[in-house]
Amino acid sequence: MPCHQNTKIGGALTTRIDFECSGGYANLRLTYHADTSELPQTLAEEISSLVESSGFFNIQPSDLAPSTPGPPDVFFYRLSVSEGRSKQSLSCSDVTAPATLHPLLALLRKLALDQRRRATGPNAGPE
Amino acid sequence: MLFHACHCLYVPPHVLDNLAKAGVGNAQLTLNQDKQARRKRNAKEVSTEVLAGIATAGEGPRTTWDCENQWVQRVNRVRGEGGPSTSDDAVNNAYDYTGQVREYFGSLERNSYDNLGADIHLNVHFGQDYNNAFWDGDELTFGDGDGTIFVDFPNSLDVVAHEFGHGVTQFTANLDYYSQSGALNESFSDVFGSAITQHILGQDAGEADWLIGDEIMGPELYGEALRSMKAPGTAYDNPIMGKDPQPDHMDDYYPGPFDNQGVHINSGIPNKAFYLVSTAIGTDKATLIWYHALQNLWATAFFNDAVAVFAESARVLTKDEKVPLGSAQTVRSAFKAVGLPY
Repeated sequence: MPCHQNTKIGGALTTRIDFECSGGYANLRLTYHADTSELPQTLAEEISSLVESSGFFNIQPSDLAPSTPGPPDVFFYRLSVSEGRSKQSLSCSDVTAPATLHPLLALLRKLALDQRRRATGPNAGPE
Repeated sequence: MLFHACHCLYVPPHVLDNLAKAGVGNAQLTLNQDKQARRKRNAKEVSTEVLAGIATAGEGPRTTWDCENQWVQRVNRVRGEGGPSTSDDAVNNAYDYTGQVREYFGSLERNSYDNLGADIHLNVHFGQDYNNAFWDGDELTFGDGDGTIFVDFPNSLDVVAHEFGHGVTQFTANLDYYSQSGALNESFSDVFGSAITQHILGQDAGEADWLIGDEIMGPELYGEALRSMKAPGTAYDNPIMGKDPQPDHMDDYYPGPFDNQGVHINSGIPNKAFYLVSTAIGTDKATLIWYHALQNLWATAFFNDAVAVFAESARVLTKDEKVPLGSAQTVRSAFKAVGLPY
């Protein structure tokens, strides 16, 4: 397991997020990858707060991992979070995720769309 | 004996699966019942409308729940069967559209999604900016959309009929939501979405736009759609969503791992076949064939399996004078046009 330094910005540990959302009625495929040390402080603190309020590092991945494909049209998620010495990866769906995790998933979906807009918008640089 | 008190099966599931393929009806029913029991073990509820004598048992009473933007279902009961409309369009549209869908299946002699008059629970305002709707095994759930790329999922008859259709599939063929059986599952829902929309709007196959999801596009994606049954692969092409990946022929079949091995992608192939049959004999007649076939398919059916079942359903319905003579040939031609059987 990689060693993460306890780097603090504004009093909070920096957080590495790797997020993927797929499926749904519209068959979206969204990804978001970020290190909070590179984000505006307000957003970095929001992400860290939602990670904490979701109890992310205390979740048992096996409790959320879907045992069968479906149900129809739910979103599927893969989420890895590293914060200091803590690291957790899990897979879940809209129906297996606890209510406390959904606000974090919702923010990451929004950030994924925002990231895509910036990458493809009129001011996007060459690939 | 296939059942005893603990709902265990004396006959192993894989044996039931083979019997179901051979058309042994009770085996298919038993397999479906077992899978449903394994999936959700909620006690069957009796709605207050039934208890009060307002609704007749067996008509699938509707209950609409306002999730109040929480990530929880069934938060606040806002409208029951026969209840007055509210000031909330999402509540009223989910309720009204579900009524139209229920009535359409009633014309096919189907009593709610399970054919036993199951209560129909509708959850609106699920979560915040939730760009989705889904069927979870016993209820429908709708987000509001983020107002930018998607809006108001319950305000589309397409969406409501599509999700209700997953319930119908669950209690008939129970197609596994993976690979080709999953693509058939998705296709049947798009079929019901399109057929019911055309029926309500009084459109024939030539007048319909055959688009799925065009009504929920937000300002940023206005004019786009999610799928086209007439021309799979042309529904959208924009920086946010990318390009519509649906194939319209087996030559372009998606074999990869995403989307449960392409359930929303490869559904384009049977969707196109349904469109072709509909333009030949009419959407309502094509839907009769598809619904008949759905009741004779099984959980692990592949595309080739389905082609044979669709053609047989057309033949049976022709004999019963429910669809025109030549419909079986029309079905085979339609599937040949999309490269099936392969």
